[in-house]
Amino acid sequence: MIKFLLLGILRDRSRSLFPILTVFIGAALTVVMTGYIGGILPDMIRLSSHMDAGHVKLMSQSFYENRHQMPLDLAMDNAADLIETLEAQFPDMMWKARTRFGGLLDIPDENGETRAQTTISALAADLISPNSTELDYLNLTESIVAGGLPKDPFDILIAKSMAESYDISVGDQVTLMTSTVNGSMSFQNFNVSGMVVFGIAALDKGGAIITDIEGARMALDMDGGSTEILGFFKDDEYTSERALVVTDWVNNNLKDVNDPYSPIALRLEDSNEMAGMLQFAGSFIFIISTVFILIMFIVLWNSGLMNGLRRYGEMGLRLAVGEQKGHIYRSMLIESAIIGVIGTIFGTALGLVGVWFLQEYGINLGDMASNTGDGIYYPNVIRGKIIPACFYAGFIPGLIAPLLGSLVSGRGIYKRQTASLFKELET
Amino acid sequence: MVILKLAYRNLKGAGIRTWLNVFVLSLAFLSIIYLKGLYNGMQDQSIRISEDTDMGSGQYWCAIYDPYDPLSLPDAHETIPEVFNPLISSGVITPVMFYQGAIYPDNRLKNIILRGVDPNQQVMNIPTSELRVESNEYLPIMLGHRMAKSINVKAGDIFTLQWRDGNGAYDARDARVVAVMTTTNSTIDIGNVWVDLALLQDITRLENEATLLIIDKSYSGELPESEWEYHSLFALTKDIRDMVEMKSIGGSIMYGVLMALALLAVFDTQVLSIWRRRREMGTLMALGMTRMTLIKLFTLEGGMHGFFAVVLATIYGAPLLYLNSVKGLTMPMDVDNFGMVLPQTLFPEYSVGLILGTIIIVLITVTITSFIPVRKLAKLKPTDALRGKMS
Amino acid sequence: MKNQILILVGTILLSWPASSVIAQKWPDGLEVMQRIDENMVSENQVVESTMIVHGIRSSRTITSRGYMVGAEKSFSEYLSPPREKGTKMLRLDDKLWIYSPGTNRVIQIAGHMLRQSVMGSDLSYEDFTEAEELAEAYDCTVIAEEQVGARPTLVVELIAKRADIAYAKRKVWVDSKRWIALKEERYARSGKLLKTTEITEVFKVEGRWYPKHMIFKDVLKKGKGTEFIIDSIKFDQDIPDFLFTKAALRK
Repeated sequence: MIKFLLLGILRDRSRSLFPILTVFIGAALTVVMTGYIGGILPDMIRLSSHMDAGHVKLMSQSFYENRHQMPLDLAMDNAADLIETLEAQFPDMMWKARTRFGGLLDIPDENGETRAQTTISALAADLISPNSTELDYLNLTESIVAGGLPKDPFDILIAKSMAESYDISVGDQVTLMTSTVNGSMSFQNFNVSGMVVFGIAALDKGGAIITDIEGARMALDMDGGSTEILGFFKDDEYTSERALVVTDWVNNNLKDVNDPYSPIALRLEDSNEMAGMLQFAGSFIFIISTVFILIMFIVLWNSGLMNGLRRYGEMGLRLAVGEQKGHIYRSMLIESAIIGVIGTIFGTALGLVGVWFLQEYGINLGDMASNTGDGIYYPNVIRGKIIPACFYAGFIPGLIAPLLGSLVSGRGIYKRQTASLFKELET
Repeated sequence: MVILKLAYRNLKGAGIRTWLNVFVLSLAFLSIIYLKGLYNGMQDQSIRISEDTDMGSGQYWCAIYDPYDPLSLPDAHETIPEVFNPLISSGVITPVMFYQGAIYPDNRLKNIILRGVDPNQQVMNIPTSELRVESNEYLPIMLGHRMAKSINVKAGDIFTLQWRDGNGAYDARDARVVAVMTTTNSTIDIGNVWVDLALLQDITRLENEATLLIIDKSYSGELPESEWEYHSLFALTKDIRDMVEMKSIGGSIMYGVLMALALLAVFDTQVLSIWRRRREMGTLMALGMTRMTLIKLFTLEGGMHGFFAVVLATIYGAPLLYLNSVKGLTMPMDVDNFGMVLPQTLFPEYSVGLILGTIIIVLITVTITSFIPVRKLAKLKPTDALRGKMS
Repeated sequence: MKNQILILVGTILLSWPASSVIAQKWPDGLEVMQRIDENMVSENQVVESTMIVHGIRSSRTITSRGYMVGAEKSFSEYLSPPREKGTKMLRLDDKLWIYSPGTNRVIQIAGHMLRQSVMGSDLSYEDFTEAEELAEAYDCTVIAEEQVGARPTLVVELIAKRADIAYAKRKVWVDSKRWIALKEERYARSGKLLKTTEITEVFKVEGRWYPKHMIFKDVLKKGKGTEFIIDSIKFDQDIPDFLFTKAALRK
C-alpha cells in the first residue's frame, strides 16, 4: 500500500506538492531556529571561556580569595610546571597561562623623556609561540585595526582609542611601569606592534593592552608564573560534567589547604556568576524553543487538517466504490506520514544548509560586543551551530503535526454519510 | 460593508482552521511585543536608574574630570562656579566631589574614590541622609553593598581611610560605616566611599570645590552657561542605548522567524481556500461581483486573521503581559558584575507606540501575505470558476 | 629605589636644625635639634646600605649606594640583586626620576605613582620627595623624657608650621647623651599615627653616632616593616655636581 500511496503522491502534484512544500518550509525553519538557538548558549560559553574563564580556571587559593583586588603577589609561581602536570594528566586539554595586571604606560618624547603617562590594564597571554590558540581565542587577529600581531615577547597591542589620545603610532616604543610580584618597581620597554578595537567599552576606553606572557613575566619578575591558568578542551566543547572531572582532580591532588599558593580549580560556570547566567539563558532559550515548536506544530497541523478537508470528495468516491472506512483512514494517515517524512527530510537538509551558513558566517550585530565587565561575554556575531537536535527537531512538527491534522480531519470519514461525502466530490 | 460581513462569516465558518491560524498569529504577535517590551524596559530602567541614582537630567563637569582617565582623578576638583549657587541652594543642583583616597583591606593598599555628597540632597535617590551623623571620633561613611562585600565590612564596622589633603598633607581617619546601601547601580558602588561633602571639603581643605554637579531630573528650567562642561543624560547614557540596541537586533531575528511562520500559515490557508472555493467564486462573479471585489473579499478574509489575532492576543495576552510588567523578570544571576547599570529585575514596558506599531505591522504583513495568492483571481474566468476549473 | 630609602634616611637624620621653642624644665626643642645637627651635620654623605623588605611571600635584600648633598639633592644606585642592579634614582627637591638600565629610559615618577610603595617596602616614593628641612617646617618642643631600650631620651614634638607639610605632626625620641634620634613617629593631620621608624642599633663613625639598623613601618599596613641597614657611611666626600643631573642617570 505504501508503494501505491508513494506513487500517488509523486504523480498527483496537486495532492502532494503543497503539503510537502509546507512541511518542507516548516521543517527547514525549525532546523534553522534550532541551530540558531542552539548556537547562542555555546557561543556565549565559547566566548566567555576564551576571553576569561577557560573551561577550567586555576588560580592560587590566596589569589582566589582576594581576586577582586587582583593581587599579583599572590600569583602562582610555578604555572609552567603545573601546566606540564596537567597536560600529562589530561591529554585532551590544553592549558594556557594568563596574567592580568595593571600599571602605567610611559610614552617618551624624541629625547626619551616622559611625554605622557597613562594607567593601563594589561592582559598577558601566549601570543607568539607557534600554534598558540590564544590569538584566535582572544579574537586578536580580527580586532587589529592597524599594525600587526606581536612577534616578539616585547611586542604589545594597545587599544586604538588610547593610541589616539596619546598620539602613539605603530612601531613606537613605550615603557611599561609596574610592580613586580615582589613589589619592586619594574620598567620594561615594549614595541607597539598593533592597535586593536576590542569592541568592549571598558577595554577600549579604559586603556587596555595585550602583551605576550613571556614579556609580561619578564616585566613582572615572575619566571614561569601567572595569575591564572586556563584549561580548554581541545575540541572546544564544554560540558560541566567534563569540567568537573578536571576540577575534582586538581582540587583533590594539587590543592593543598596548608599552602595558600597551591592551585584551586574552578569550572567555567563557577567563575564570575556564570552559572546563574547560563541557567537564565538556558531557561529563556527553552521557553523560546517551546513557543516556537508549538507554533510550528500548529501551522503544520493546520496544513494537515486542510489537506484532509479538501479531499473529502475523493474520500466520498472511494467509499462509493466500496473501500472500507478504516482503510481509507489508514491510507490517509500513511500518506500524510509519507508527506511528513519527505517534507521533513528535505526541509531538514535545507535547514542544515542554513544553519551551516549561520555557523560559518554568522550575523554581525555591529562593533560592540557586550561584556558584563567581569567575565561573561555576549558575542557580537550571532552564529548558529549544528547541534544533534538540528537533525531531529524538524521531525517533531514535520511528521507528527501533519499526521495529527489528518487524524482529526479524517474523522470526518466516519462522521459523514457516504452520500454526502460523495456529493463533495463535485466540489 | 457587504464584503466585510461576508469575509467575517466565511472565516467563522471555517472553524478550527481559522482559529489555529489566528492563534499562531497571536502568539507571534505577543512574542514580538513581549521581547520588544523587554528591551524597552531594560533600556528605560537602566537609564532611569542612572538618572535616578547618579546622573540626574545631566551633569556639569569640571574641566579636568575624565571618567575614563584615572590619572586625572587626583586633580579633578575645582571651585564651583558662582553661577550655579542659586540652583544649588534651591536644591536643583547638587555638587559631588570625587577625591582619591586609600584603604588597606588585607594589608594591601587599595585606591578608592571618596564621593563627597550633601547628605540633604534630593537629586540622587540614594540614602545620603544616613550620612547626617555627627561624630568627632569617626568619619561617617556609606558604602554600596558590593563595595562592602569586596572589602569585607558591614554597617557599624570601622576601618582606616587615608588621603592627602588639597595641600598635600597626609591625613587618615578611622571611618565608621554608618550605612550600607543596596543599589542596582554598581558604578556608584564599586570602589566608592560616600562621605558628607562638607566634611570632605573640610578634611581635604578644598572649600567649596567639587568634581561635578548633578542636575535634578525634574528640573526643566534654564541652565546657566559656565566653563564647566554640560553633559546631558542622553549623552551620558550612550553606552546603555548602544548595548540595548545591539541586543534587540538579536531579538528581532527571533521574532522575524516567528512572524514568518505565522505568515506561512496564513499563506497556506489562502492558497487552499482559493483552490477549494473556485465554484463559490464563480457563483459570486456570476451574481455580479467584480474581480476586484472578489480579490478584496479574499484578501480581507486573510487579513482578518490578523485582526482576530490581535483580538485574541488581547484577550489572553493582555493579562499575561500585564502580570509580567508588574512582577518583572528577575535575573537569577547577580547583575552586579555587569559593566554597566542594569536592573536586577527587568520590567517590560509596553508603550502605546510599540503596541500600535506591532498591530499595524502584523495587519499589513498578514494582508500582503493574503493578497499574494489572491492575485491570480484577476485572471479568473467566471465560467471556468463555476465549473471548478482554475486557470 | 633603595636610593630613596637613603634619601629618606638623609631626610630624617640630617635635616634637624633647630627652631625656637619656649623653655621648660627640659632643654629647648630647638637646642635638641641643634645637638643632633652638630652630631650629624656634614656637607655631604656617601652611604652604602642594605634594605630588607619583608613581603607577603618572601623577604628580599637590596643593596645600594647613595650620594646626598643637604636635604635637597640625592642620587642613588642599586648594587644588587641583579634585577635591580644599575637602576638609578635622582631627586632634586620634590622631583624624582628613575633610570632603568633595561629600558635605557629616564622616567619621572609623578602623580599617583608617588603613592606606590618603594620596592614593596613600607615606604612610598612620596616619602622621599619631602625636601624641606624639619626645623624649618616644624615647631619643635621637648615634651617628655623617656627610656628607649636602655637609653634615656628626650621626646621632641614637631608641629608643622604650614598646611602643605606632608606630616602635620612628628615625634622624635632623641638619645640625650649621644644626640641621635632613636625613634620617630609620623602623624596624619587628624592625629592618627601613620608611620614609625625605630633605630635598633647605632654605631660610631668618625666620632659621630649614627644609626646602623632601622625598621620602618607603615602602621596602616600592619606588616613586619622594612629593615634598613647602613653598611658604611663617609662624610664630606668629593661629589661632582654632574651627579645630580638627569644626564648622570644614563651614565
